[in-house]
Order: sequence, then C-alpha cells, then structure tokens
Amino acid sequence: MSDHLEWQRPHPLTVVVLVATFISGNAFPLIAVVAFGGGGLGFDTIAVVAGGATVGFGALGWFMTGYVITDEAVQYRSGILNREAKAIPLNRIQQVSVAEPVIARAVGLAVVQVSEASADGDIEVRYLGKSDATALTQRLRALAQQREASAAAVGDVASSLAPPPEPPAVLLHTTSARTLIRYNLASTAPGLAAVALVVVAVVFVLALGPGLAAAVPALAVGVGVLVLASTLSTAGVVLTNGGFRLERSTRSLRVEAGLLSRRQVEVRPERIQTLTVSSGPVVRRLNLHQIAFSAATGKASKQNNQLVHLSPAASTDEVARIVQGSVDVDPAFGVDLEPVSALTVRRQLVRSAIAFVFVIAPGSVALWFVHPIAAFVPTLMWWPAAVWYAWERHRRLGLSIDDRRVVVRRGVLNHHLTQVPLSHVQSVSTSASFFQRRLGLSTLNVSTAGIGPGNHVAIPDLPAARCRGLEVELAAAAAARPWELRN
Amino acid sequence: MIQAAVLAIVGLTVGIAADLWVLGAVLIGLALLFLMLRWWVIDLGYRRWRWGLDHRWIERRSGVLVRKTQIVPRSRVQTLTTKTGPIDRWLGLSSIVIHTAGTHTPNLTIPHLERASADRLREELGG
Repeated sequence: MSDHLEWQRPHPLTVVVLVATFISGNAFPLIAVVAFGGGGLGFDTIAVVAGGATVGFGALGWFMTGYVITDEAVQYRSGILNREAKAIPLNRIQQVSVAEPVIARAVGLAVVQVSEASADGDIEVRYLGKSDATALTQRLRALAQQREASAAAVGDVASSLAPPPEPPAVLLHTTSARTLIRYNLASTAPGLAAVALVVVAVVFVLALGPGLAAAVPALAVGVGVLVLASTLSTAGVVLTNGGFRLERSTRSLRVEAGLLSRRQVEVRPERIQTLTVSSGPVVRRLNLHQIAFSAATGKASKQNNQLVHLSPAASTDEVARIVQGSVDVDPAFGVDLEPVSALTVRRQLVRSAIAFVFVIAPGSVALWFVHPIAAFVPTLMWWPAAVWYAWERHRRLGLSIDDRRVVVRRGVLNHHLTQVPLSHVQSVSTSASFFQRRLGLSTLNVSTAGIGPGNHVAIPDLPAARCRGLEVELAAAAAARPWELRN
Repeated sequence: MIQAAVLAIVGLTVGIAADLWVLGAVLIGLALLFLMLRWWVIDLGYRRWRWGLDHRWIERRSGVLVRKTQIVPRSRVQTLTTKTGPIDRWLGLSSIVIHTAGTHTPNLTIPHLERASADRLREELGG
C-alpha cells in the first residue's frame, strides 16, 4: 500500500474473527488431530505450530487488507499470496449492505458489502466496528446518491449542494417469530407429507413382507426423522429471518433480519430488477405470501440475491400495500394473462411418461417381488397425479406485457407471480428443444442485470411464432428505454 | 480431433505391437467414424448459426437439437471482448463476446469471425 491513497485497515479484532472462523470451519480435522495425537508429534507441538500459523495468517491477512474511498470509486485490496484489488465507481453502486455474521457479531464487528451489477464486482470490507460499518455505509450511500444527482443534472447549481436531510423512514413490515414458525411449517408441509408418504409405503411393504417386527422400528425411525427435520428447518428460518423489518425512506428500501447473524441491506427502489410474490399450497390456506425483490448484484446474489428473502404477509391486501409502499407498483394480482399453448399438456405428459419408464416402472418391478398388490400402487398413484399436474401447469402458466412491464405467472404447487419493468430488461432469448420444435413450441427467457435466479424469468411452451413476436416486441421495448447504469 | 487421433494411434499400436489386427482395425474405424460424426455435427452447427446487427440490437440464432435465439439491445451493451486463440490467429479469425450487465444467461458470443469483420463489428458497437 505504497501509493498516495490513504488506505484504511479493518478493525484489529478482525484477527480474532479470522482465527475463530478458521477453527469453526476446520473443527473436524482439528478434533481428529487432537484425538489421534498428530502421528506422534504430541498435542503441545501441534497446538503451538497450528495455533501460531493460524494467528500469523490472520494477522497478516488483516495487515494486507485495506479500503479507500476516492472521489470516483471505492477500492479494496486483500490477500496474502494472491493479491486482489477491486474498485467500484461510485455511480455504479447498486446496493450497500451490512452483515453481522455470528462470530463477528460476538466481538462487535460487521461486514460492509458493496454491490454492482457485474458478475464478480462485489466488494466485502471485513471486518469493521459496528459504528465504523454504519458510518462507511452511510457515507457510501450519500456519495453514490450525490454522484448520480450531479450526473443527472450537469450544470445545475443545486446539484453541487449537499442533499437535503432525509425524513425518517416508514416502517412497511415486520414479521413476528410466531408468523415465521407458521410460515415455515406450512411451506415445508408438502415436502414433509411426501416423506411421510414414503415412510408409510416402506412400513406397508415391510408389514406385508418381513412382518410387524420390522415395520414398527421403521415407523419409529421415520417419525423421528420427520420431527427432527421439521424442528431444525423451523429453527433455521427463525434464526435467519427473526426480527425481520422492511423500511422505506425517500431514497431507499431497507431490510434487516437475523437473530444470530444480523444483516442489513439497503437498495434504491428503482434498482430492484424483478419482483416476485410466491406462496406454497399450504401457505396459501393460511393466507400468507412471500415477496422477493431481486436487486442487480453480482457475487452478493449467493447470499443476498433476493433483497427481501422472506416477508410473509397477512393477506393479499397486505402484500399489495407492502409492494406499493416499497417499489411504487401494484403486485399485478388482477392482470389479465395470456395462456401458453395447450400443447404444453402433451409435452408435460411425455416428460411424466419418461419418468415413469425410468423410475416408477423399475420400482414397480422390484415391488412385485415383495407383494404383487404393492407393485400396482405407484402406477395407480402416478398417472392421475401426472395428468392433474400437466393440466394444472397449463392452467397456471401465463404472461402479460404492457407498456411498463412483463408479468409472468408460473408454478403448480408453489405459485409465483413475477414482474419485470421493461426498462430493466438486459437481453431476451428463446430456446426450443427437439420435442418442443416437434410441437411448434418455444421458451421465452427474459434477463435483467444480476446473476441470481431471481434476475431471470422464463415462460415455457409458447407457440413458436408468438414467442418470436414477443421476443422482438420485448427487445424493441427495452431498446427504446435507456438503462440508468449506462452513463 | 485429439480424441480421434488418440484412438487411431491406440488402434495402430494394438495392430502392430500386439499383432491384434482385427481389434486395431475396429479402433481405427471407430476413430474415423468419430471424426465423420464430429464433422457432421460441426457442419450442422455452422449451418444453423446466424447473427445480425441493426440500429436497435444484435441478434444470434444457433443450435442443432435445442434451437436458440438471443437479442441484446445496443443500449444494454456494457463491454466488448475480442478473443483470438492460437488456431484462430493461424486462420485469421477472431471471436467477439458482447457483455451486458451481469445477466443470468451467458453473454452473447459471435465466434470465429474473419479479422476484418470482427474489427468492423467492434467499431460499430463500440462507437
């Protein structure tokens, strides 16, 4: 760091977090070394060498890390052997967020994550004191907004002045632990029911074959696994999303969540690329929904792709209020959707037939040797379910394009309603598999900025000519609208 | 090419060194068949490949079994990369990769253009 820039180092306690993270991530090898004595070297020697090396690398890692904010960009350098330097121009910053991983939180530190819309452009400053992290976050947000304002109004005297003080943020939504538990139990219920069905089938087969002596322990194990899976999954959701808050200020949308590892994400509403409202089959019965706002982020997508990962709302009206308050659009519940081709039913049935040949039929043959009656059960269950699924899939798939946005509805068990503003469309593509071509069908793909699954939407099995027409229409609409990052 | 060459060399070796001429001939035959199939697939892919540029966007059409089209509006082009590998250099070709802002789908690539066409395309899009 010998250049003229004034590089800042992370908080010195970063060394403690790096060492603790290394130990927690390598617990099993460390336990093995301690338990087996490290091949005769003795515990003391190994502990001293390993401990010294870990602390040494941690300290060197801290020493070699630095960040600086210049007039133009935020820059970050890190790495001991492989040095890495990144810079994000201030006017390209998409999202600034603060995360508090559990180990860092224990010693009062946090990570500041700066995202831009490229695949590998994110900067993560780890680790800063909480007050420093908040100050850095606020400074970056203010600088990014200032840069954009001055770029938007070149020559305007007002642009050189500091932005006016921001009014207090409006709280749009909080989620209680009770709602989270209800939501998670409801959303995992179909999966658990499927596992329960398998358990019942296994118990049934065992009761018909070896007898009750084998069936009862199998039933006990199955029930135990189900209860354990449900408890762990619910605890995970509560710890990850507990204390969920969604706020909107004049300039940005802010989300806070997490009981152990707390994260705070802030993004400008106009930078939200797609908006999806989802609900599972049981969740819908409880009148709960999940709203996911996907921002244009790169690597951050692996952790925070969906800005609001989970926001169960009380009712459809509540979803509408949250969406309207967050990003100033309606959730598109009442939009008239164009159906996909009815031939999609045939395509889905062919898929089901292939799955039948390769999975169900061999399973049925195996069951024949247990009991002839058991062999017919999977087939009798498979085909009514496959026909219902194919028909329901066709009924659910639909899209609508108007002068502002594309709306896509999909999902049979889990319903998803996604909307993409035309101004955020990056590229449009179509694809047609061999069987789709035989039926004259194509899939339409719409990509926005950002690399997460939420930044891309696909609608399958449109008539090929219509699909091509939509592709051209969407590309023309996108081409006619400037994208705000291209400045 | 490399796989077919390896197969042919193994066939020759088996035939000469181990005196198993029938097995050697089968392996050499397989290598030839593999080459012909590969040639056929590459030729089909080349025939299906189209790209175009107008004042609004760049479009690509490709695919033998799965047919694909992709359109990138000019206003969404973020960066252009020109790639020239050793074989491309030898044949006087270049590939152009058009990047948009970190999209989920791969960037639009126009492979193996003649050098002059690649330069023209780069100037046209860059300007």
